[in-house]
Amino acid sequence: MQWLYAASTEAPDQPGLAYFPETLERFPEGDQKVPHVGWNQLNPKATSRLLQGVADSEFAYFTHAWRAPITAATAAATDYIVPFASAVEQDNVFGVQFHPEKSSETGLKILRNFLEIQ
Amino acid sequence: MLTRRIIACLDVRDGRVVKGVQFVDLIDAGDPAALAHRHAQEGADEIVLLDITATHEGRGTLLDTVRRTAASLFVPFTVGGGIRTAADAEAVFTAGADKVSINSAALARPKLIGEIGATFGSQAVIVAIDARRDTDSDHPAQNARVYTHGGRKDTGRTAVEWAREAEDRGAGEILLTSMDSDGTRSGFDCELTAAVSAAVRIPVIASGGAGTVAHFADVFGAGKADAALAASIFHFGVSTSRSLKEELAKSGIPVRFPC
Repeated sequence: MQWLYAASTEAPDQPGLAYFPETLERFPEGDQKVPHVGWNQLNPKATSRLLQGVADSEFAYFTHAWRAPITAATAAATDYIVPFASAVEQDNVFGVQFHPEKSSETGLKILRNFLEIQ
Repeated sequence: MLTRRIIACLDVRDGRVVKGVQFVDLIDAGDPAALAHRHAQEGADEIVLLDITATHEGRGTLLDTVRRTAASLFVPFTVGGGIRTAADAEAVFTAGADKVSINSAALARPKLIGEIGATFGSQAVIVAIDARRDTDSDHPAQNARVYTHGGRKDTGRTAVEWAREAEDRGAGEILLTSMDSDGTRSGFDCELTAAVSAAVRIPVIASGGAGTVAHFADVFGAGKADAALAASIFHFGVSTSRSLKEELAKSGIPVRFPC
């Protein structure tokens, strides 16, 4: 999902595809560990086509240290240290921060949705 | 909320599970693929397959086992045991593993951590540490030492210092086994786990000593573990990861439940 964005502080000299104009930032250092590794909850937007049938608070498997900001294109938000975009969706472009292939039934549902999008 | 992970571990020799959780109603209770799938269905957050095969022929069997297990497993899948080179790791990844666990090979040649990470990413490299308290020290847990060869060889390093180096070299997680607690069912070594967890920014998986639900609550609380490895726990009043997690959720530990 991250390469859909314009830039990331992970590699400042390397531009992204810039389908989304924002810049990705690392989670802020503090009491909680970075990277963000494990199962966390999705708060999906009801209108999301990718996340149809995914209920609020369903779990997905994450492993990452940089994160996308919440914007109008955010299809799901997740909270770790700060709220971040765990899925994005705009027109026919979809991205997820988590690993749907490793997110059990929830992940399989999302992959199925993607295949069935008209 | 990010949850604490319960990881089911299967010890495999020559393609057969020799230790770990058995399910009596499975037609083939020794088949790693069948057991891994069953664990995932029963609520395990992750599966670790630890190969204890000593022979060269067994390595081929392992890759076949990994392939069959990964083919329809939809939770993170780690493979450890006998991975000595980046090429060994690549073969396991190609067969479908998400992460590899390396132990004595990383101690012998720490550069291996970065070599695997450079190709497959830090998140794919778990450094496993077998540690024993240093009873001669004023701080036995803080100064716990790293052992290899089933505890026979003292590496002369402390677990805290080796975990830090592993993180600096690009490890994505630490799998910490307390040799003092392993097999005792008297609880994880929370002091040791907390010392290592506080020393690094990457997740620490606690292993060794699980006997009751309360032991898991302790290691997630006082032990500051991000995940815990479960094997024989399932023989003691808790039949599945799901029921373990249900009990933990009741005591306020964030876990993936319902699952």
